[in-house]
Amino acid sequence: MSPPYTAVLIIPTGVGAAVGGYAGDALPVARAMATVADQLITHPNVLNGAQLYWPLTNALYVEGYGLDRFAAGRWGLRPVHRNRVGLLLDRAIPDDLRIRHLQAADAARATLGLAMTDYVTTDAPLGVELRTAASGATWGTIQQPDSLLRAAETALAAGATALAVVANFPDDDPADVTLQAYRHGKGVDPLAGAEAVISHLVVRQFQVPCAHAPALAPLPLDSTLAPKSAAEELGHTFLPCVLAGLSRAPQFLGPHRGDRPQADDLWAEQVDVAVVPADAWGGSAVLSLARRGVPMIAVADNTTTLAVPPDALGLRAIRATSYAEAIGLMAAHKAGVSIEALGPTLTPLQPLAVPVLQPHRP
Amino acid sequence: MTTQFLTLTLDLATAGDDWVTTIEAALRRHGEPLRWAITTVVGQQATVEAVVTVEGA
Repeated sequence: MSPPYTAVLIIPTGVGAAVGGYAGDALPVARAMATVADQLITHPNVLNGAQLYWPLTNALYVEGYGLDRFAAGRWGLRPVHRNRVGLLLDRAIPDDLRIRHLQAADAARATLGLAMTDYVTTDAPLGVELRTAASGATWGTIQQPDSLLRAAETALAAGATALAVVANFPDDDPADVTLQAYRHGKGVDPLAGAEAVISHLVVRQFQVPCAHAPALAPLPLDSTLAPKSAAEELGHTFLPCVLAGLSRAPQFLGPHRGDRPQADDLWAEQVDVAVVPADAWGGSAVLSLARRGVPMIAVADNTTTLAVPPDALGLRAIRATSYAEAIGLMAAHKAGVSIEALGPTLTPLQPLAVPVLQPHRP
Repeated sequence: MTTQFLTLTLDLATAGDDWVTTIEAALRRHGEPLRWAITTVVGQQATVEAVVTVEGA
């Protein structure tokens, strides 16, 4: 019997990925990949589609900082049947939006049956600031990280085992060029980098699953909205996908926990393949997995704003034009079928030269 | 604690083969690494964009 085939799907957030750079538009890739992989480890940017999501029983929803630690071999993943999700709300969220988010959480409890603790409001506005770097990637900082961490500590003390954060983001200017491009399926998500910083802070500090949904005032109706961006304009919050993902997100194992090993625990050495956009190989998780010798598939048509292909770093890659091809390569790999055998020609075996032994002279 | 954005340049030729450890050590001169990535590579020069946290700032 073969061990479970474990795949990691990485699509960095905030880098304008042609697939996965918008509103949950890499979820179809994850759904297809999860039919080939026995276990698919991926992250919120891939699985979150605002009010849309798709429960994949064999997918592990792992926040980016935790994924980096997992890939480095420092943390393991322990699947769970459920988490009790704590909800952290930025004090800066306007009253009407705060109520919308609480209603979304109550809806997730009533309609999906999710377990949640009571919510926590941060003791100060978090002060989210957005930034676009020279590479074109979006980043962000927050002015009051300690307030976020105090709120997280309160929710954990109340019994939360995973944390959903809703931070207030600067109001969008509908005429802003970057926003216009994003709504039309081009350019870079201006919020994504800051969102990642928020969840990274919580995961680094508390080693629990965490994901973020921004609080944003609704935008004016745009009849030319791109399908890839449409999921974020269905309603008042992006929270439902986050709550659904966190409700079954694996817990992190590592030096911070003294648990005894369990059969379902996952560590980096169990990863069989990783799939990454072809020009975004400079992230921590990708570098760690490549260094471990994990077979890595580079997907060419998922372009990003970055310019870090595997050959620029001297890393070996299996090249695929598309995710369709990558999934085919995974199927062959899982079946133990040589990729060369799938092509129209196969060169004959050649003799290997055996080194000639020199006579031993005392 | 504050969060700060920064960029740094890494010479891949002298960075050894464990770039994660090398980059995080370089970032620790500025704070505790939170999120980073190599975002461009020109020859042997890699640009790293990062957010670090700084205690007491």
